[in-house]
Amino acid sequence: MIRAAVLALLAGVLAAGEADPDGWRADLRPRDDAWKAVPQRFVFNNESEPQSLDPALMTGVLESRLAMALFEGLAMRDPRTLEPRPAAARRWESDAAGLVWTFHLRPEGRWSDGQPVIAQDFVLSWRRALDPATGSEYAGMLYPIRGAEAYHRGQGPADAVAVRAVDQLTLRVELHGPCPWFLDLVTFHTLYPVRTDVVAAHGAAWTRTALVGNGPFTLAAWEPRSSIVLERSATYWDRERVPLERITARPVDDLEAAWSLFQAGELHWTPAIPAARIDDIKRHPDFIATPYFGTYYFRFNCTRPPFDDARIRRAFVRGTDRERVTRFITRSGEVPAPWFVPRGPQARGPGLAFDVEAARAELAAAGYAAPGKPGRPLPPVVLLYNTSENHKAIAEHLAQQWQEHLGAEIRLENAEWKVYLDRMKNLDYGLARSAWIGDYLDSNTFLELGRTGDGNNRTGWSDPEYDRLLAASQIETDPERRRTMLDRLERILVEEQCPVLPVYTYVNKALVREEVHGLHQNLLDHHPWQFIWLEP
Amino acid sequence: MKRLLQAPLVILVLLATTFLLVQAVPGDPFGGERAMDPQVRAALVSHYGLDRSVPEQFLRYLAGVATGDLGPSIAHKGRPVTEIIAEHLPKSALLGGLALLFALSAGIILGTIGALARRTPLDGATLVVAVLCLSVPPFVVGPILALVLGIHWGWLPVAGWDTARPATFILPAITLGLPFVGRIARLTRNGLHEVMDADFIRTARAKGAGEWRIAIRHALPLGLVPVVGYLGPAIAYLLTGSLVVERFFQVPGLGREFVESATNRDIPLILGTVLLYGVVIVVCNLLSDLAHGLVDPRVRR
Repeated sequence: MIRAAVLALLAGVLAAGEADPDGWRADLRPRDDAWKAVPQRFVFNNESEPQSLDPALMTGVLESRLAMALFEGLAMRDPRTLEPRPAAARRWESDAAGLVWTFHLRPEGRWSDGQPVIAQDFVLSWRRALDPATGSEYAGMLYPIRGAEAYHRGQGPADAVAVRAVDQLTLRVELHGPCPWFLDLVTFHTLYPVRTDVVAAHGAAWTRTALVGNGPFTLAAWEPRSSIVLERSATYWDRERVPLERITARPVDDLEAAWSLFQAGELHWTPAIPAARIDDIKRHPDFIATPYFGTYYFRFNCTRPPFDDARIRRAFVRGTDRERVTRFITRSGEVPAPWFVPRGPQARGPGLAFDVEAARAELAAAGYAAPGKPGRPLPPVVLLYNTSENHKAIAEHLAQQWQEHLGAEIRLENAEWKVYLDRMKNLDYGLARSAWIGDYLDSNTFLELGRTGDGNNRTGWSDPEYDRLLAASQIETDPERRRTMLDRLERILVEEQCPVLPVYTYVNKALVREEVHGLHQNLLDHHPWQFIWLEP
Repeated sequence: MKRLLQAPLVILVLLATTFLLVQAVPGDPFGGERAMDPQVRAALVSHYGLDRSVPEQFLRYLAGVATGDLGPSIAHKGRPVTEIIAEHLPKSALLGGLALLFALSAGIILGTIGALARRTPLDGATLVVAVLCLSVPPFVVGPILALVLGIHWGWLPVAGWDTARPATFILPAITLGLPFVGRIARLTRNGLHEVMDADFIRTARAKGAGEWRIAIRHALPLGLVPVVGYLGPAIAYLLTGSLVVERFFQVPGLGREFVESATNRDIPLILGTVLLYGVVIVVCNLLSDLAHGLVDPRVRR
């Protein structure tokens, strides 16, 4: 994904000179007219009831799936490569330092009520997302913009946020420093435009009663916990080339029910698979599994013995046979990964491989005896996980491995979700089952977890050298130098200091019916609706 | 009359207890796995009035309840609790009503057969069926029905709730009603059994009336008295929704909102659903007592 970030940067510079900003779309569309013989009504399982359809307030993957249909950001991702491409903006350019970005909107851009999409819509929408009163949990996505963080923290005025409408169709954004992944952020739902006049007129209920969007689809019906029906927009600038006429999102939160519905032919696509049935479902011809931008890992509580000692942490990392976890427990093609930042299917990263001898050497160096040997044994360790069959199976399996490899006595404690979050935040654990899904396609979204005091660090680990290097990497514009820095950072996390113990890279597991086309598999499980169609 | 006056007090105590318990439970209603900016959190806490003292929060809540305002949901952004209840309660109630209809008809038929055929193998068979209905839980029955009737034979939809497709109502209603079939069958059989030995039945027999005619015309009304007593709590349970059945069959009912409000720490929704359930249970019990008095004059004294 470092490569993607570089490409993103290049794309920004190159887009200015590109002849046809939408040429890339041609390959993503049906090649002939066979699809026209089939009703283009797509039904999928969206996994649960969305908590909100307001792009500034939503936080989850399932909400963003719907937002991608209803709204359109300045840029969108190519579903094959995940590169940012022109969307609501026809093209953009930045100055040489990457500090000033100018986006040129499409003159044909329209909201679903027929109004033109103008630069001021973005100015007002981004200010709204940053307004502390809005309560946007992802407002931090806008922090690279000058004045954004101060306004969001109540330390600066709204009009100091450096986003300006130069004219109806030109938006100028100034950053406070270079941000190598800025275009990636522009594709994110927090930066989608909303109609602030509609929000003001209808209040919090605007998404339920008066949703106006600029995306390829509009909201036709929303029956909570039953279905959300989207229909092809009559005003979207590229509506002529959107094959699907209707999308029905069903919030099936019971995995068994989703599997039943898929078997009964009522769903074209379901991304939720019951873990207990994975061995059967794996053999289903419609099953797919591809790497996902998420890491399953354990946090060490670095403030308490024995994990306040990096040697003990390394002993646990070395004493973990990840292959056995993915082969015997998860069994869906997860990639055993000693690295922290997820890679594509074939790529490899840094990290400490499984090695019992090396693990015991680290133990001995820290003054503890190997299993079965005389000397000081490790103190008992509390392993915290949130209630789930999968987490339980992994925790039990690893507890046994660590007992066998290190002589460690692991006490398993499971806690209900909100209690688990509380305990992790308060560092009330020894080892904690954890997961992180990247917010944007850059290593930074993972490496930031190691920063001292970062809200998501939750290990108590702190290293001034790491913090300094991380800050430097965040403004480094030379791709080669930045890559070296990111590699160094990740090595500190997974080879040297080890506040985390990565286990595997998640996979997207899904069942997709054969007639579905254009559902390109990618690291972000990102599927723009305008490129999907049905064809037998 | 006394019980009628007690009812509001019971509800008030229920609300106060829930309010206190909610404060004591660990876990933050705001945010999830991702750390939340303190500014954003503070804005949300004050928006929901959770920065006020507990007694003040409670009084403000009661004032809201008095005007029919149960506050905004925290987890479902932009949806008031009253709207959520209005949206999902009718679905639970319809499902519960259908389940009740099924439980009553199947239960009474099964129980009557058992009572008439008493001490024969047929009576034993109805007993076995009733015990099976009672003891096999919905999370086992539901998947089996869906697999056999839905996927294998393709007769019925496996999940979903669609008023345009009433067939989607059948499997959840049967699954939800089945345990009640067992209970009602046993109550009917035993009630009838007792009545069939009463003097007036012996008189009817002496007049030469057939056994079936006696059972249905003369004995059943009195034999069903225990069933009527049981119906109050049963209706309260059925109307307010069951998590297991609603989840497995994806019925958009209130049972899931109730349980998920607790896991989400969605305080206004927890209080709203608890209040509603309290009212429904108290009212159903009152009605059941009244009905009991109507059908059985002995209770009135």
